[in-house]
Amino acid sequence: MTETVDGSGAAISFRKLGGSGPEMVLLHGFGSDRMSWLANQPALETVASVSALDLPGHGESGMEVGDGTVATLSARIAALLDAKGLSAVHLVGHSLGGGIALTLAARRPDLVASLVLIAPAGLGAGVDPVFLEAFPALADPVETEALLHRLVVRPRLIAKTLVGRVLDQLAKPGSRDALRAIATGIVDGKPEIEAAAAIVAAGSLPRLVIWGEADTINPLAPERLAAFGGEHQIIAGAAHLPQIESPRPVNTQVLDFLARVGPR
Amino acid sequence: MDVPIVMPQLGNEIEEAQVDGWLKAVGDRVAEGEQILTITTPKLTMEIEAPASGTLTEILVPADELASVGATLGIIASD
Repeated sequence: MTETVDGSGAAISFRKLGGSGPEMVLLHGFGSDRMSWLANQPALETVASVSALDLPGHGESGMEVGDGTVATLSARIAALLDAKGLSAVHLVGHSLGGGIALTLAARRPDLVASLVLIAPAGLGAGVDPVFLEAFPALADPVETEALLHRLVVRPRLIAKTLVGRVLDQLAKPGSRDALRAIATGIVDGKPEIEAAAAIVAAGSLPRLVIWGEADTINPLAPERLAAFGGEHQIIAGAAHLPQIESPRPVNTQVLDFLARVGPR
Repeated sequence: MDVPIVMPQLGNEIEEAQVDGWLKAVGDRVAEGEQILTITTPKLTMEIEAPASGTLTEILVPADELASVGATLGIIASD
């Protein structure tokens, strides 16, 4: 467990997972944490030196999130990467993490070698505000399970242990307030993330976008995706968590993409 | 030929996981790549795919039991 203090003085939990090669950093989604990449990290470690972090307000990181906007969170991650001496990293971001990766690529292009964006905020039809509002308020296991089912096509992927873990995390002091601030930031900050996406779209940064066909949390927006350019993979039989529902094709697509990008 | 169904590598922080449930019973036909059981770590639930096509002949770790990474969970007699 590595605790790192970023520019704002708050702790961000960052961990080198394993592997060797170019640096890769995994950015999880809203309400999740760095352990959500378990189905992907062994594959990714075959081609890269992989690290993952808990975003501010998530997992073992501090619950101080400032105004909670993607711009603020991105600045915190940039400060962390600077403090770690990391630059030109391959960023893999899911949902909120994808929006953060996009913003980093637009504002600090020196930090980013390529983008893998999974159902990223800012490129879809918009993250469902009902989901974002309901999640930080969850208290009852049955209601939690029902909301989490919206993330997947196959309900068996939402086990009781996961439900308990989500509620345990929400019970941490400051967690609900942090997530509420970030939820507001995702909705209100959408134009800002879209502006970052436009900057990336105008450049030559290698980028792969992966989307679950059945995603209702941040539904696919084909015209936005087309305008963004880069490579696109749509995963049938998956909703908002294709990296968990369909790890094999997702891992293969990421490895193939990185092979085409080549060493940097 | 007997092909073991193995608890996959789950990254360097997870050493064991619980079998959540089998989607197939002993004697059932399975196809390579077909999802045949779910496992749960404290962090995530995942589906495990059949490593070969054939018949599921043995379930060594039943639902709700823990197994270490690399452990054999069941056996498929491959075609």
